[in-house]
Amino acid sequence: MRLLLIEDDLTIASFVSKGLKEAGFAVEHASEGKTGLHMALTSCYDAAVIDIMLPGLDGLAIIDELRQRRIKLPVIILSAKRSIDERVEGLEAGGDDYLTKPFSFSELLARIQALIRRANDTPEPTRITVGELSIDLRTRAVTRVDKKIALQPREFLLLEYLARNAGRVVSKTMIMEHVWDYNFDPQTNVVESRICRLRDKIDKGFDTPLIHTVRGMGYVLKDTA
Amino acid sequence: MFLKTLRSLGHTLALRLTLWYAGIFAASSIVAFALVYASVVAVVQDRTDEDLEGDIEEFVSFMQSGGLDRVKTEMAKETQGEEASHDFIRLWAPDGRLILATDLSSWPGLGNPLDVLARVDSTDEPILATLALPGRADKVRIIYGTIAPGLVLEFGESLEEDEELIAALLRGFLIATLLGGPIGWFMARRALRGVQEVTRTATEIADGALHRRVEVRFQGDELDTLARTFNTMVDRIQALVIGMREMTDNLAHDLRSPLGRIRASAETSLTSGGSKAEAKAMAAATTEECDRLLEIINTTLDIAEAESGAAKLKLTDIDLVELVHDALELFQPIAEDKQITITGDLPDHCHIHGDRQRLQRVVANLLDNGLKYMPAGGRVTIKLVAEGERVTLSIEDTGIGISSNESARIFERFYRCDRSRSKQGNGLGLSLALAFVRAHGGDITVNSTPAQGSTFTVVLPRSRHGRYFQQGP
Repeated sequence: MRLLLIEDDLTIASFVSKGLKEAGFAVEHASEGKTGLHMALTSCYDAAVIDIMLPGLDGLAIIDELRQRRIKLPVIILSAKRSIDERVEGLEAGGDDYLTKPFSFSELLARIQALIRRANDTPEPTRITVGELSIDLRTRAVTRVDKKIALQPREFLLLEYLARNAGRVVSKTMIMEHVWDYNFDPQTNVVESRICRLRDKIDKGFDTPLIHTVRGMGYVLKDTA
Repeated sequence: MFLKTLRSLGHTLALRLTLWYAGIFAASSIVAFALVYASVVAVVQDRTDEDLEGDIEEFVSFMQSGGLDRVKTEMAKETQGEEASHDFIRLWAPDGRLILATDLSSWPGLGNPLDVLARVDSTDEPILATLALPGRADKVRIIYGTIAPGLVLEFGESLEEDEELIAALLRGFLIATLLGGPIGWFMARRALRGVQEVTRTATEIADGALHRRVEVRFQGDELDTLARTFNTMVDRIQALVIGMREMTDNLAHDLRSPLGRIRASAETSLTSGGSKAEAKAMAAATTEECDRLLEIINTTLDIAEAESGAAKLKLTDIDLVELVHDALELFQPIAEDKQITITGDLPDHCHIHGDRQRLQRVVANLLDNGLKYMPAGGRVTIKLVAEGERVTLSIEDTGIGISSNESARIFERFYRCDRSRSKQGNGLGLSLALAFVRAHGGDITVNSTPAQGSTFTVVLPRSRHGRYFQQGP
């Protein structure tokens, strides 16, 4: 998977490239708009991460140019502005995505993967397995080793979200957005208490825990055995 | 210098008003005076003419009763003493022969009115004429009338009194016109003094004296209204400025605290050169603090946007009951952990036109607030009642309650009750809820008894057409 990153802030760029490379992507970086557009036009990428505010040519102009040339490169726009530009809203409707700075890397990664999945029309899995844990997405049956685990609907959604992102840290905000359809994280730690309950059902009585807390970042479902 | 003053004077409203006033006053008094003058002159002349005609009739009767001798006596009587300069009488034969005359020493230059005498004799009707004599300042009104065949009486009467009356009228008019200007100036100045006062105060306020107010004179006039409106405006500006100042102070404080913690932990790990685990803990703490900072900034902006009306609500048809159910479900585990009973008293459905994400935050923030200060064993009840075009959502808790002077301030940004300082939170939750509800055209009120609990009541219109809250004071 090849990714194009057009970002003029070199600290952010190196942080993102490093993370994406660790996640298995090949990343090419441009720190200026025109160079970025040239790269996007001459090489083939699976997705692009483009900052809006760029020297030379701004992010939206690059996307406009790409779309005019009928290049269907899935794009994630990075914006330091909180209020969403109407043009960005239009892009969002067109299948691309945006992320407001500062962002957590795990969220960027999740969005890139979702974007590529959508673009490639990847078939939905029917079963996700993480170590001893098996989740049947159609019947909603969850088993660990041979033990059947009964989950409430919302708990299932939470586990499913963690499992779809298995191995990657998901933040509380991401969980709130995907599991509860809330675009904010209430001050009282509702996610923590949910995770706690899910842990009781998934990890209690087993030697190796599957749900891990990554302090300052969020939670991850992974098999460390 | 003088010209400049004059020019700037020309720009003042007072002078312009005065000029207008004086002009209009002068024009209308000229018209009024002309009318009065014409009628006074007519009345005075009529009166004189009637007198003169009466005199002729008298002399006719004198002639009939006593002949020329009687006429002579009466002529002398009429012009006795002082009267000699006021009246004169001459008796003529139609051919211009003077038969009798009174003392004419005050009447120099009186000629022989031969043509008039002929006309009087032929028409038999008295003839009236006004004459200016070269030796006299006043004019004289003269009547010629036949008192007996072949005898024409000429009776002249000075118009001095009439002229004086008319001259007095003219003087009065001139004085009134001349006074009009200064009176107009005075009145305009008086009227505009209030305006100047407002201007002066406004200038002072512009220079930073936000506490200044215009004195209201309670005369119930337009200037009072202007002063009051102006004061209300300044009150609002002052409240906003103070609010903004407090908010900036609070924001600075609330941003400084996490920054201080970030700096401290970073510095510690730099100087101590600790283990990798310690560095990781530091990084985690930094991330958490950054998220907290970000949350404060974003929420402050959300509130500001909603309050200024800049936030565009994404209005869709939403089921408020479903939204409340989701929120209850979300907070249930927390409530259970804290041994708090959380129940909903909800109808089956309640559709309203609203911004889903923002209303989610409103409900979540209010529940959050209710749970946060609740001791174990407490109860939170959320109730939804729809009546006509309005929906009332009340969140009742059995928590610590809020004192009445605190309940006035809990919706202020960054305001935190004394008891809440120890709890997690940024003091923005209720302000945000209020700002979002007001953006929907609704309102939030709180009713609380310390140590017994509080009830937050959210009133929302079902659609944008009904507003239950008017922005502004």
